[in-house]
Order: sequence, then structure tokens, then C-alpha cells
Amino acid sequence: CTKDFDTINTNPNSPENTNTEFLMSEVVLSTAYAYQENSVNRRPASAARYLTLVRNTGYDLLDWGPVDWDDIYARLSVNNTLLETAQKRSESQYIAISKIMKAFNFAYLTDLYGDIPYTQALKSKESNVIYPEYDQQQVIYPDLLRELREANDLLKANAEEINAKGDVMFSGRALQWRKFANSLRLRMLLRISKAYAPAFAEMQAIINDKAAFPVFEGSADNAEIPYLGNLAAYSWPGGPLAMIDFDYQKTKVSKELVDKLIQRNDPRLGVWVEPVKSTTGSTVDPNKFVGVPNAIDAPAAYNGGEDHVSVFSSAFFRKNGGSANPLLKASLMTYTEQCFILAESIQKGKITVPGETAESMYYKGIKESMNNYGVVVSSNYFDQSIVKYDGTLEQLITQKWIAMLFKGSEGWFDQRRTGYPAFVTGPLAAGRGIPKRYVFPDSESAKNKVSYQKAVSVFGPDNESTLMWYLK
Amino acid sequence: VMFFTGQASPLKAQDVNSRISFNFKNGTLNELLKSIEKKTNLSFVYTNKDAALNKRIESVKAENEMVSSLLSRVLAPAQLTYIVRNNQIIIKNVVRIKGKVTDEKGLPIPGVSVIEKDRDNTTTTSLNGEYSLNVRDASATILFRMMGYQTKELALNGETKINVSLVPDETALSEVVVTALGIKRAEKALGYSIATIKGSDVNTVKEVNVVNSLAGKVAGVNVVSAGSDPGSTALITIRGQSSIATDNQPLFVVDGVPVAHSLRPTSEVGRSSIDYGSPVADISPDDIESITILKGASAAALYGSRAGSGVVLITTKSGSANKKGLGISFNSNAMYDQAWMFPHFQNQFGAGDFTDDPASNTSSAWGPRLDAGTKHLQWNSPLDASGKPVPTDWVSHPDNARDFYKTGSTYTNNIAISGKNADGNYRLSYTNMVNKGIVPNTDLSRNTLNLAATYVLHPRVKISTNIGYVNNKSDNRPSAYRESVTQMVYSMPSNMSIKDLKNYWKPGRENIEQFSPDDSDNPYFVAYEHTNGYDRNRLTGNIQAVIDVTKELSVMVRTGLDMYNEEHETKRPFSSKRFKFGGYGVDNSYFKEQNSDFLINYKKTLNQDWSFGLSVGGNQMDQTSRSTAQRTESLSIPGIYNINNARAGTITNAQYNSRKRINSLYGMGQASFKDMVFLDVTGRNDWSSTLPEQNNSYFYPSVSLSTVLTDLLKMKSDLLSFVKIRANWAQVGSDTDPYQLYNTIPFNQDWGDVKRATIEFNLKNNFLKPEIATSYEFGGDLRFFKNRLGLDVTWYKTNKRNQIINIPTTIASGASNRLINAGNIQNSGWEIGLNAVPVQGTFKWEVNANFTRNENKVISLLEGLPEYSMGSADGDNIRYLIKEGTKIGDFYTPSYTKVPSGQYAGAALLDKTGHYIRNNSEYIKVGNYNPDFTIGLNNTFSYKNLTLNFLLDWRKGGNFYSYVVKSLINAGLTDNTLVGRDAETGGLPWVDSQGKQKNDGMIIPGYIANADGTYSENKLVIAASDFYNNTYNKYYERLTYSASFLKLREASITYVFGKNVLGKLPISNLSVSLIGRNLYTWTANGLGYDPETTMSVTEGFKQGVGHWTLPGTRSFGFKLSCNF
Repeated sequence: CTKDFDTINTNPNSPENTNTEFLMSEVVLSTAYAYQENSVNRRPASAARYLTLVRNTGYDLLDWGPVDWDDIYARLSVNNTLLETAQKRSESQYIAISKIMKAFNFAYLTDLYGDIPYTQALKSKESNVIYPEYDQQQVIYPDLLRELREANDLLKANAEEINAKGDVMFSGRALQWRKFANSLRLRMLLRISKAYAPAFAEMQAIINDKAAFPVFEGSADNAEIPYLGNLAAYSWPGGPLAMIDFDYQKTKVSKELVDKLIQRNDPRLGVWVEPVKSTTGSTVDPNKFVGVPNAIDAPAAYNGGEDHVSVFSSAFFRKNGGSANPLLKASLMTYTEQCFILAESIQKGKITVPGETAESMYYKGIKESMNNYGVVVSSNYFDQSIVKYDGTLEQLITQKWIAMLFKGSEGWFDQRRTGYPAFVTGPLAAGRGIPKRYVFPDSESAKNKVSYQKAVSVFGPDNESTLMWYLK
Repeated sequence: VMFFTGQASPLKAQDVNSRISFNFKNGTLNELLKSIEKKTNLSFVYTNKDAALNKRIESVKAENEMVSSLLSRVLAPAQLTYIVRNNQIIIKNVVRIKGKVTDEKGLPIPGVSVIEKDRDNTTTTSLNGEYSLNVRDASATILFRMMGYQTKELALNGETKINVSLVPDETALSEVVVTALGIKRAEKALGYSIATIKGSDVNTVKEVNVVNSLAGKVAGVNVVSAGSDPGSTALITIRGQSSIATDNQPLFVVDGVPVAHSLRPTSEVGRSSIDYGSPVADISPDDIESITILKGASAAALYGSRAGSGVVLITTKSGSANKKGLGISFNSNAMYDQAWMFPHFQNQFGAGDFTDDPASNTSSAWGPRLDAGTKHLQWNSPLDASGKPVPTDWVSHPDNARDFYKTGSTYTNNIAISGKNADGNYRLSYTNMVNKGIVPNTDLSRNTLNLAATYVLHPRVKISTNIGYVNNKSDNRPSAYRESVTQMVYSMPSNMSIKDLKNYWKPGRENIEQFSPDDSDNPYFVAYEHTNGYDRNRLTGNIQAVIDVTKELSVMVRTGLDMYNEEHETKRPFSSKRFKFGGYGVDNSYFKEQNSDFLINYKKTLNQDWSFGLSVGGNQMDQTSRSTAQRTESLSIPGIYNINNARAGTITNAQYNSRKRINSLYGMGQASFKDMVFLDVTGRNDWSSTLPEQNNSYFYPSVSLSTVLTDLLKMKSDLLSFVKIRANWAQVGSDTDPYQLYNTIPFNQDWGDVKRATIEFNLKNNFLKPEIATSYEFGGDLRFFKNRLGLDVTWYKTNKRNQIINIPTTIASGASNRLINAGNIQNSGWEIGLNAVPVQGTFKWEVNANFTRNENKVISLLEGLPEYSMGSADGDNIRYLIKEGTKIGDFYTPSYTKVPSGQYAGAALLDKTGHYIRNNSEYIKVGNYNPDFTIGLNNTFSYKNLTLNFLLDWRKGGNFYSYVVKSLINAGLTDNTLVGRDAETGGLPWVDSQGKQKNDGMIIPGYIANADGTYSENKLVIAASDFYNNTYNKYYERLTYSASFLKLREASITYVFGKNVLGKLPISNLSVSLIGRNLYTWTANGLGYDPETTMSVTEGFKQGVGHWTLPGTRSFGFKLSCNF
């Protein structure tokens, strides 16, 4: 009487195996949307001091506490299934894409936390490893660079078609994937350049051989995914579907950002920032655009309150549009960023790019950013002494910081790497300073205690100020 | 009459017990007896020597058989018997007696044991109460024994036609109760504790959800309502929570057939949650004859897997109790609910961020002092000619919440027609219930039609059926959790008047734009336009046939069905804060459970000392559920609620189908000795489709014993009327949900026209074993003073092992959980019931009290697993952790950092700015949501036609954390945030970071670390709002309160009109009652929160965490009932 049990207990709702491209679209979409959401609403935007929260000020005070990494490991886990499926079917094009997504996500993880489970990670299903040990960042980074290189080589050799529909980022164009892999290497190499001796040599090797290592050549190459704007989950995180008015109203533009844009007469100010409702009644800042200082007491009352401080531009970002503004995309990496990466590397005198100087790449980066927001820039802008290339890292990184508004976590990562821009952290965040990393998820000490304790003994105290390998 | 005298030798009576082996062929009975004489030393005396002795006998064979048994065997067919008298065996004609056994009303009683005293000679009465029995002589003594009646002993004294009327056993000592599988047993024969509640106990003060009617009435049963709306789900836990992974709800069985699971998760729309209630609530209290609660594993063992948390058996009314002919009963009930338990709002300060805030925002109440004759800019300030807002009177509106919630009403009308004749009986009942909630525009209606019918097909074959149809419908259920009306209403600063919000559309922008003062929704807009409708059609039914093969052997076959279809329709209009372009959803779910079973009962009364029973049965349970949902979060055209109106590409689809089957075989044996000692043994084997093949068959037994000591030891006295002790041991195995063996790769929401496939992060397990619960129970039932005082005490212990749980693993391993067998959770406790009749007579006072104390303990989890999270609430801020040695129900939160050592050790360690530092690295225990004990106390006073009844429900201990308290303190809305707001309330003068002089300064008590390792006392002044925010927002132990409460749960006054009043009117049993429910509640927290309904109702029901739920209500009304 139990012979039907097998049939009865077979799950009719979903298959045990699926198509590779379905997993690819999942990995790429979940990565891009979550990464972008982080850069708009989450800690990276607070640490980069782009915005100031006037209610529920937790992030703003930089007292973050442990931060969970569930979503990142979750998509890495799906990516692992993508890799297994591709290997089973000998689909090397998808193996390559899974390697790129693995490198991107693990790099983000280690950038956020430092040492993390890596070689033993994601092995619960295949080999019962439920207490993965942590690897040191200096072990992880070179391995990720290797993965990217292998992905580039696989795609170069491979003529197998990538499913164009499932490839939501590059529509099946293998060359674009290769460019992304190599440009990502540039980002990662500069990031670790202080601690990783061959960094600039490897960058130079990429720049020198365009055929072997194609990189971004313009914003059309950007690793970006548009927003469909139909559902909250598929909409710009600051748009009307994804964010309610209450959250919008508590999020103000930071004084850091507004003041720097005003100083430079930057045309992006009007695009990004909404003028105050009224300047009459402003108590401390009579400007039309008013940013709120970070981590102050009663931030909601700053400058006379609500009507006298700026929010992010509603025309562009929030209330009345922006669900699927074609200019607002989920960006993994952009050509603009690459311009600044190369500008900095040239400025340091560590690499050369044919036909380019640090100055030319610097201007290119600024122009590219403005173009991407539909801003026409007059040459007067570049003539201003504060903008005119002066060869300092501070100027270069400050411009990069402006350009990286809501682009990944680059504003924060560059700040902790270079110290620029030098922020006023705010009286209530005093003593903490801009965090250098995330504290490991508190679930680790419960679910993976031995590995966690071992990791901390190697890495250093599990707090926001401990420096990871490449920042030391 | 001739005497034939055989060999006269002295004979001892016990010689009939000597054994004989013997083979007799072809002869007369006379010859046979002669040969017995030859083989033994016996001789027979014949009282008559008629044809009977010449009866031909073909063959008789005996092998070492007792002579007495052989004689009975050979004599009976010849209508002869024997007696041993004066050491002689006298063979004589039997005396055939017959008659009818009836009850006190003259109705026949089938199944009565008729026993010839001191002999193994018994029979039972037939369906019409008749019997016949051959006895030895007309001077024999006959016993008539039936459970529920006093045993009658009669000497025949020559009579052969004996009609007997049995008197019910009013002492309730042998009250008949329904036990597992519907088997009726005398309560005194049970070796385990069960509780029975009469229908009248649940339908006088009626609850829309009958589960709520059990609150405070039964020892060992804890009922917690998820909300004060009558349609809310009620959680019922029997003998504590033993299961880590399941919801610990009992199995509900209606008329022998299991029905749908009692708990269903809430539906989430946006951030709000909607509780559509539980299908268990479908049953109309008016149709309930009795409710039996099987508490322990022993009582429930025969229901198997799903009875691990106990069983609630509901028996509905039938027509059998009816007098002959037609009976009509009618009753009508009106109940009114009034919201009265509100948080203690403050009305001294209005909206704003600080006390002299000139701004007009409305999201917090830290603003200027109210009712001081000042004017301020407000959200609704009129504009002057130049378009500038004009300040208006700054006055308080203390009754906003009271003004918003309406008086709810529930009207219930029931009419039942029943009839009975020799061929059968029927009862047809119709109930209509109409409810209007305390939230405007919320409602619930229910129509119930029930038919119970029995037809006697043949004197030995009875067919019966119960068919029920229920429609539940609501145009709008109230929502809870975030963004519910409660949040909107409670979050209004007192300078605002809720009356200004009644017209919730912006004039001229109807259906497009709401009229709202701030960034949150207008509560009236939510009430009237955010509707959550549902419609459930449910059919339950069973048909069964009972065949009495012989008087001892009966066979029951039955099939029962529970089937419902439920549709949810959720509407969200344009301009909703979370649904800018509106939203719409239709969910359909279908559920079917079919149980087909048989039961063979064999009952034998061997003699006046011993009787036996044996039952063997089997069941096949088939469960099917299917659900589909279509939703959109954006509409194309405002006000059109149809899925076709979804914006292009925005429809999300969901579907889930599942099936499950359990096959079972079970058996039960009972033996009773002298009606004083009772032994029951049961065994059941289940085969579940959800477990892997190698582990899908599992057996579990139970044994129980009970003894009536007063009878056994003959110690009955006027003081001590009755003592029974009982003990049992049992195991119950359980399976799991479907599809837990292998992982699949589900689809994710399409991205435009691109498909996505994700993985499951719970690793499944194809080596699962069944869970096993083992329990012991000991108890006693003591009655004193001729039963006027009764005490029932039970102690139990249950250990649930091999629990099928998802143990958490770090997501870095690639999965967040692994499904395994682990854990051993122990529950032990005391249940004490007390009933007394302190005053008897024309004025009667009856007291019923029950005490429940359950002790939960986590004995073990899993090697290497230090703690396990049973879930979390309020983000991840509250965790329900269990560890070895702790209790289920404990909740943990992070706390603030303390000075580690030195003279200030333990005091708060503050940061440089004078604020608490959250210590995230450690979760500390702040409470447990389970009570230490509960006491229910019911008093009934009756005088002539008047009865007064009230039930007190006291729960002591347990805690709850309240998100509502936290939110209201954060926004300065409650009266515990008044201190320090201005100089008048003790605020300190200080200068803020922008150089502004203020008087709302406060200092957080604590110490600040100096660079040299010493500590100095904090003297930094911060704003009052900052003080409250920092003190309460993240420090949950300060927001955790005692959950103790005392409720006047039920009260009623009933007047029954006497015959003299009704006169010749064709009405009988006319009664009117004034009724009340939850009329008074005392809470230990004293802040206006009802600990019972403070529950987080999102993604399931999380006890111990108060979220935005409706205010506490009290209900009062009246009831009228009569028969025609």
C-alpha cells in the first residue's frame, strides 16, 4: 500500500535540474540589483557620506554593528549551481561567466569584511562542509584575479553561443564579458596595489595587449543592467515603487556632497539635488541647495527643518519618476570608474596608457560621468582652479568620489584607501570615524564559531576599524 | 416428574472443574452423560427425563476440558443446564428469561450487559433494548451493567420476564465520554486524563471562533487569541510546546473525521499582515454537543502522527436526543465589542522634533506644549492671501483612538429542526452570523448549514451521515503589523484631530489621490480602501455504516471529507504610500483531506468479574492542497480591481501544489476487572508518504491502567466518596511535510520575458526518520463529601525526540539550513481540576477551577550545535533561541554595553557623546512568552430559574516585548515620555550643536571611559527626544514587560421561563441571558497593552512580541433561546 508514495512525494512545483541560462540570469540580476541597492540605501552610501539620515539615523552614526552577508553568499551559492550545471553540460561559456560573477561577488565580500570563508565555502551540499574556515584576503584576491583571467581566456577560445535573452547584461556578446572581466581586474589590482607588489605590472600587461585583454572602451561597455520599472524589485531603489515616501523624506543629501558640488559650480548639483522649499526661515545655511551635516543631534531640525534642507532630486531619483529612468541603472562597473582608475595609476607613475595622461583620463572621467546624467558641461567648469588638474590625489579622488555617487561602494572604498575626501564624520559619530570594514555577521559566532574565532585571531579584532590586508 | 437416582457418592462441587478427555460418537444425550459418569466420579441427577435427554448427538470430543465447560456445551443446545446442589449435579431444563432494558425516560438502551451472577453466562441487549438469557433456575440473580448507569442487581424470584429501568449514574463517576476514534468509554475506565466540555459551555457566551471559548476552562490547555477581532486566529497549545519545527497545534476531529489544520500563516500585503482566521473557526458553537480534549500521548495515540500536540474532538448535535416527533429550537445572540484598552497616550505635547520646534511635521510628538493658548503652524493650516500658512490653535485631541474605533457587533441566529422515529433521526441546523468589526468597514459573515442523520437500515445496520456547508465571507478583514490602521491611529500626535481625516480623498481627486497629512496613509483611507476580502466555501461530510454482526462484534466503515476553496481579494488604491499606482491580488487556495477508515469492535463480558474489548482499525488519509495567486503592485486605471487592469508586465504568479498520504493500521485492547481495574493497550503503525522509503513505516504503542481504589479496597465512606488512580505510558510518532527529501531548483519571478531559476537554501534530507514523542502520565480523581468536592490531579512528562528540524548553517556553506533529526524537548507539568458545590439546595453555588503549570526544558539539541533559533521577530532584533537546558519561548536581544569591572561594574558604559553603546556581540535573554501557570475559575450561582455564571482567567508569568511601546516612545506619543520635555517637566537647560539654547535636556545615567582606564560619570546633556530614543530604541529589555493578566473572561445571567409563565404557548425552554466577555482585564504591564493579543502576526504568529494589533476589547450582549 506504499507503492504510490514515490509519486505522491515527488515535488510537482519545480524541477531538480534546470537550464543554465536561467541560473545565469538569476545570478547576474540578483548581483546587480543588490549591489546597486547597497550603494543607494545602505551603509556604503552613509560611509561615503553622500547622504544624511534625519530619522532612524543608525547608518549615519556609523555605529553599524554586525552586518549579515546572507544575500551575497546566497547568490554565490546560486552561482555555484550555475557552475556545476555548466560543467555537467560542458558549456564553457557559462563556466566563464560563473567565474566572473564569482570573482565579482567574492571581491565585494572581502572588500567589505576582509578575511572570509572562500576555499571551503559553498560546499555544504557537495561535501557536507558546514563549518567553512576563513581564508586570508591575500590568498583570496590573487585567486579571484586568476578566475577572471581564466574566464577571459575561456571566452576568447570559446565559440559557443551565450543565450542572448538570458544574458541580461551583455545580450550574449562574449567580448563584453571579457571586457568586464579585465576592467574588473584593473579595479581590483588598483585596490590591492599597496599590498600586492605585481599589481601595476599586471595592470600594464592588460593595457598592453588589447586583443588578449580587452577592457572598457566607452560607457557603452559598462557592466550595467537597466531597471524594468514594473515591480518594486525591478525598480530603481530610490524610485516610487521601491521606496515609500517616509524613507525618502528621512533621507537628505549630505552637506559633504552639496558643498563640494556648490564649490565647483558643478552642473550635476541641479540634477541630483532638489532645492529647498523655502530659504526664508533657514537658520544656518541660506543657500538654495542645503545639505545636512552628518551625525548631528536633531538632524531633522537642521536649518529650520524639513522645508529648509535638500532631498535628492525628485525629478530624477525619487518621488515622481525614476522607476525605470534609462539613465539610472544597476551598475557593477562603469567606464567612468575605469578612467579614474587609469588616471590614478598613471598619476602614480606606475603604468602608461598609450595616448593618455593622468590629466586626460581625469577629464575623461568627469566628462563621462556628466554625459551619463545627460549634463552638458561647458569648458568653464574645467577652468576653475579647484577642478583644473593639479596632479594631486586629493583632487582626483574627490572628483572620482563625486562621479561614483550611487555607483557601487567605490566612494567609500577609495576614501578608506586614500583618505580622500576628508570627511567631517559628525559629532555623534565622533570617535568612530569612517568605518574600514563591516563587522562579521553575528550569526557566524553562533553557526560557525570555531572557524570564526580562528579567523579573528588571524585577522585582528572584529570591529569596524581593523584594517584588512590591502589597507595596511 | 420422575427422579432417576444414579450412583450416590459424595460429590464436591469443585469436581465439575476436573478435567476430562473424551470422544463420543452417535448416541443420545443420556448416553453421553452416562459415559461422562463413567470417566469421572460424577453422577447426575435429572429433574426431568423428557425428550431432551433422548436428543441425538453425532459427535463430541473433549481434550483435557473442564467438565463444567463440557456440560455447558452439550446441555445448552437441548435447553438444559445443570446446578450443583447438596453435592449433586442436577440436570434440569433452563429457565429462559427475557425482557427489555430502558432508561429513565423509557427509551431502550442497547448494549447493556446482562449477566447471570456467579456464572460465566452473559448477553447484551439489542438495539431496541431487548434481551433473552437462559439461566439455571428462576432463583438466579441477574446483573444489568451499562456505563453511564448505575448497575442493577435483581433476584429473579421465579419471574422470567424482567423489564428493567436503569438509573443514570449522576455521580458522574461513570460518565460516558468520547475517546479516540469516537469510542465511548466510562470516564472511570480511562487511564489518562481527558477533558470534556458540554456544548452549553461554549454556546451561552458565544465566540465567533469556538477555540476562544476554551480559554480558562480546561487544565493543560492554553488558548491565545492573535487579535481582538472576533475573526482572528486563536492559538491553542495543549501541555506546552514540544515541537521545535511545527506550530504545536492539536489535531481537530469533528464527528470522527480529522479536519483542516488549525493554524494558517497570515497573508502579507506590502508591510501589513492579514489574518484570515482559521478554518477551525468555521464550526458553529450552536451545533456543538460536546468537545473532548485528548491531552496526552496515551489519549491521542490512536490518532497517530498528527496528534503529537493533542486532539480536540468535537461532537456535533444529532437528532437522537430528541423526543419522538419534530423539535424546533431557536436561539439568537447579539454581542457588542468595545475597544477600551489603549496605550496611555500623552496629550501635553504636540507634533514636532523638539519642544520649541516651529515646524509642522507630524511624524513625532516631541513638539511644543499643547493647550497653552499658543498658535502654531499645523499640517492643515489655512493659507493667507499670499499663500503662506497661518498658525492655528495648538490644542489637544485626547480621544483620537476612541473616536476612530467603532462599537463592533456580532449577531448570531440559529434554528435547528430535529426529529426522530423508529427508523432513525435527523437534525438540520442553520446558523447565520454577521459581524461588524471595531475598525470601520471591516466585517465577517458566516452561514452554516448542518445536517446530521441516522437511518436504521436493518436492526443490525445503522447508516449515519453528517454534512456541513459553511460559507465565510468578508469584504474587508482588518490588517495588522506595519502600515495597519492601528499604527496610523496610534501614531497621530495629539494636536491633530482624527475627525479632520474622515474625508480621505483629496477633493476632486477621488480614486487617484488620498488626503493625508504626512508621509503615511490616512487611517480612514486604509480602512475603507485597503480592503482585504475573502470568501471561503467549505464542505465537510462523512458517511458511516455500523454493522452489528453479533451482539459482541460490530464493524464500522466510514469515509469523511473536508474540502474548502478560499479566495482572497486584496485591493490597494492609487496613492497608497506603498502602492503609488495601486495594487491588486487574487489568491485561490483549495484544500482537501479525505479520511477513510474502518474499525472492528469486539466486546465480551465474560462474567461479572471480567470483560474484554478488542478493536482493530485502519485509516487512509489523503491530503491535497493547491494554491494559485496572481498579484500586481501597479494598476493601469484607478479604481478598477481586476487582474487584467495590471500595468503591462507587472503580474506576478505563484502556484503551489502538494499531496500527502498516511496509511495506518491500529488496534486497541481493553480489559476490566470487576469494573474497578481497567487496562488498555494500543498500538498503531503508520506509513507516511513524506518519509524516505526505508523509514516510512513506524510503530508506536501505549499502555494505560486505572483503578477505582474506593471499590477495590472497599474504603468508600461519606467523607471519601471515590478515589481513582491512573497511569499510562505512550509513544507517538510523527512524519513531516511533503517534499522534504530532495532539493529542487524553483523558478524566480520573470524579469520581463527572461526566466530566472534560483536554488533552495534549505538542504533537504533523504535519510529522515520519524519523530518520536514518549510520555508518562500519572493522575488521580478524588471525590469527597458525597461528591460535593472533587479533585483531579495529573502529572505528566513528555519527551519529543528525533525532531525533524532545519538546523541553521552559515550561509557561507552554501545553504542556510540543513534538515536533520535532532533534539529532545521535554515538557512536564501539573494539571489540577477542582470542583465543588459549596451550597446546595434551592440556591446552588458551583465552583470549577483548574490550574495548569507546564515546565518546558530543552534536554538536548545536536552535538556541536550550541543554540538554535526558532525564529526571530521585529527584524532580527528578537530571537527565539533555544539552548541545552533552556526553555522554548525564551527570547533574546542584544543589550547595551556595561562597565566591565571596578566600582561601576555593571552600570551602563556610555560613548563619548553620552549615549548607550549597543553590544551586538551577545544576545541576552529578556523573557519567555509562556506563562508560569494559569488558573481558570468558574462560578455558577443558581436560584430557581435564575443562573449567574462567571469565569475568571488568570495567567501568571511570561513576558512580552512590544514593538508598539518602542515606536510610541520613539515618537514621544505616550505618557511615559513626558519627563524632561521642558523646564516644567524637569528638562535641563543646554545648548545644542547649532548653538541654540534649549530646556529639554536630559542625561543618560552611566559612565564614560577615560583614556587612563578610569570611568567618570556622564554629565553630557542631550535632548529629551534623543534620551528616550537612545534609552529605548535598541534596548529591548526595557521594552519587555510581564505578561501576567487577570480577565473576567465570561459572565452571564440566564433566566429560564417556567411552564407556569409560558402557559399554553407552544414554546418551551424559553430563556434569556445577559452575557459578557472580557468585561474586565487587569494587566501587570499597566500600560494599556493586552498581553494576550500582543503578538507579531507576520510570516506566522510570533508570541511574546507585541506589534500593531487592534486595541483590547470588551464585549457584552444578550441571548435568547427557545424550543417549539
